[in-house]
Amino acid sequence: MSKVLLYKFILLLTLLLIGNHFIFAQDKFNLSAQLLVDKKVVYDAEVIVYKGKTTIAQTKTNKIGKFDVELPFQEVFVIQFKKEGLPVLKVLISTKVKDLEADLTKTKVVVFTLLSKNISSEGADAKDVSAAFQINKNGLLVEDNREFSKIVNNSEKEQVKTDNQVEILKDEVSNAISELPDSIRIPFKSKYDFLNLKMDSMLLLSEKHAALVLQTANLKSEEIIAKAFYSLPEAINSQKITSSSTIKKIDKELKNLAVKEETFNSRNDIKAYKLKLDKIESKSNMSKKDSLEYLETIVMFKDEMVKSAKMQLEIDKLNAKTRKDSVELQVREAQIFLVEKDIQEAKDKIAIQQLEIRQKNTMLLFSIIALLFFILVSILVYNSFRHKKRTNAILEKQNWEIANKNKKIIDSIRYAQTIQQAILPIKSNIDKYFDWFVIFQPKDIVSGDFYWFNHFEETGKSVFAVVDCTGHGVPGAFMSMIGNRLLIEAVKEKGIIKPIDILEEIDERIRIALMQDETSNNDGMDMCLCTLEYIDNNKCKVGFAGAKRPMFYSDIQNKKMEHIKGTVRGIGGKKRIREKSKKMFEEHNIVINRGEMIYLTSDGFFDLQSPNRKKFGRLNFMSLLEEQIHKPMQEQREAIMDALHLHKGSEFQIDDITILGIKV
Amino acid sequence: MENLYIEGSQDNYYVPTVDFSAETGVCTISGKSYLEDTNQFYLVLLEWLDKYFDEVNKPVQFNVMLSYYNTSSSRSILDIFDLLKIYEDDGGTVEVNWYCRDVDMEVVKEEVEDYVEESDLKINVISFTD
Repeated sequence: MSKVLLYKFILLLTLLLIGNHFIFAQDKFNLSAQLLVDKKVVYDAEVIVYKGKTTIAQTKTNKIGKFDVELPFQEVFVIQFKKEGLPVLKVLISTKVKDLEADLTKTKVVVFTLLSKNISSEGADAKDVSAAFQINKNGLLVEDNREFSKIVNNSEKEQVKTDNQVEILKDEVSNAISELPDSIRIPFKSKYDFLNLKMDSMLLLSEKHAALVLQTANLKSEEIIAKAFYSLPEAINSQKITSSSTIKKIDKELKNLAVKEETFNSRNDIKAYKLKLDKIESKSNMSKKDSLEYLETIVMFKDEMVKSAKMQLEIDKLNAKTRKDSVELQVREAQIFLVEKDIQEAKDKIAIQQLEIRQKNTMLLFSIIALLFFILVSILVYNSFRHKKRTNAILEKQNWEIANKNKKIIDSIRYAQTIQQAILPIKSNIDKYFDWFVIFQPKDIVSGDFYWFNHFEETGKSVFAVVDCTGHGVPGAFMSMIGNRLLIEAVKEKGIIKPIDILEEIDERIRIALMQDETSNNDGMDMCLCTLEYIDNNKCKVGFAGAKRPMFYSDIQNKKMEHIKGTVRGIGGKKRIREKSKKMFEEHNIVINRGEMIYLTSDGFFDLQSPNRKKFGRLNFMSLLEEQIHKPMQEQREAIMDALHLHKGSEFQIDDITILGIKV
Repeated sequence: MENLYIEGSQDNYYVPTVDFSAETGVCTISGKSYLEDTNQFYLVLLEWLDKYFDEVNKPVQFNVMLSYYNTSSSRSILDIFDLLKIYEDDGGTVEVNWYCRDVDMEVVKEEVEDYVEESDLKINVISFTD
């Protein structure tokens, strides 16, 4: 009995006390850690290490939140962090480890990623720690309860063993009982059965308790995995490939998962994976891409391994006979599950890393494109700005030059205009002898047209002329100067008074002046010229000669306009191509009443075109005059001007216009 | 012999369109004639005609379709008519047509009459409506 009880107690002890047979590799674990709260470095925080109720070490985190403490192996510690502005936070550290493989002289910095919402109470109490860490076989401190679950699994095995033994003992006892005489057997059996019952209930209770512990452990592990997932970036950074040992480790795992090594390792894909791993490992400097590839390969490898393991497991399940077998299979299944979890974790990490790399690449590409674009745009803008500035400067200069030149030319022509005005008859000079008006409207500033007047005091004779020189503007104006000068010479100086003689004289003079017999100069003028001489108080004798220009005169009594055509011969001009006997100018002498009108014009008004290109014409001009002949000079002038503007409309004036009206 | 073609233009001055064909002997001057250097411009036309009479020696139809010409141009046109008359007198066949818008008939008729008188050429005045 006491033996059975002893066994039961041993079993309970086994369940409660774990890891008493660890191997001691080194006396102290150098904990080098960094404290992050809510993903931020916590510097200058007070760090207190409790073992049980006693404080064994006290330090502070440095500028980057790092601290170092030495922790004895095979113990459990609570580390408390305290800093103003932050709640008290605690972590549980277990240095319990068996089969330690790693060289602990090179410890890695562990990152405590805590959340400020997981408030702990101050003191050594381990109940409300925010995280628990366990040293693994590689001497790394990891936030993982796997070791614990392994221990639970081991315990389950132990329990099965014990169960078997208990069954055997029970059989032995019942056999022994059955051999006893009835007088002893019956009371004993009842007592035994009672005890047995009590034991069974105790066992059941402890099993339930163990299941509860297991469930808690599973929950905790899931919580840890979840936490690990959220703090992956740090985890990735802290995870470095422990080269050459990887394949060794995998081989070990293969053994653990009962995968048939020979068959598995001889597979081509597996060989390729191993080759790839070796290749990457042989590299002295591994880039982030390399390490990612490494991780990916391991994951693919392990995926295959799990598949094989699962297959093996299914086969073994079919072959399982004893309870021991099935327990073993369960353990294996749990191990496979753990490996799968590992793989899943690694896959998540890979996915995140790939995502990060992709994001980084995209960002980099985008930045480069943006930068190039920016540079290009800058260059273009700058160039166009410079070009524009230069062009503007040139244009401005050119504009200024053109405007300046234009101004000079216009100024010069304007002054020429004053000279031309000066050679024209002085209004008061004519006013002395006649009631008259003139419309003198050059196309440009200066004119190729001009009108001329001279009065001989001795004879009382007057000469009027309207001259239309070839050309307009400046060339025309030059010709007008010559014409004016020749008229003065012929009429004033030489005293020629007969109209045809005057025209002949000027024609000859122009040919000489412009050397037209020797050159191809074809310039000259058209002219209408009349002489006026009063016979008595009522009559006036008019002598007229025209070079291609007519003379108009009124018949007020009949409200009619008359006109005399000029001779079809211009003044001046080069020698005719066709030798032709020179046409003689014709002279017309008429006597008109005083008060009648005489009009001399250039061809500008007749040729003036309306917007629909119709010329004003001579007949039109004459009917216009018929309505005006009885009117005062100023009114006549205005009426003709109005008609001119009405006809011209928006059209440009194409020629110089001169209309001279004289009341005899 | 090559044809003579000068595209007319219109800015500060008016250049008439000149279309003289050596093949058909149809020579047309149209548009407005108001030039910077009238002599220079018409010299080209005169030279072409002179060459045509000399080399081709075929009948000529000369068409004037000018809606405006200034005093200088009128003198150069007379030069052309002089040349045509000489060709005619030498035995060439010359036909001169002066085209004129019906609205300008009265004005043009007088101008043409003057040309006929001066050049001794027969000039047909043909009116058209546009």
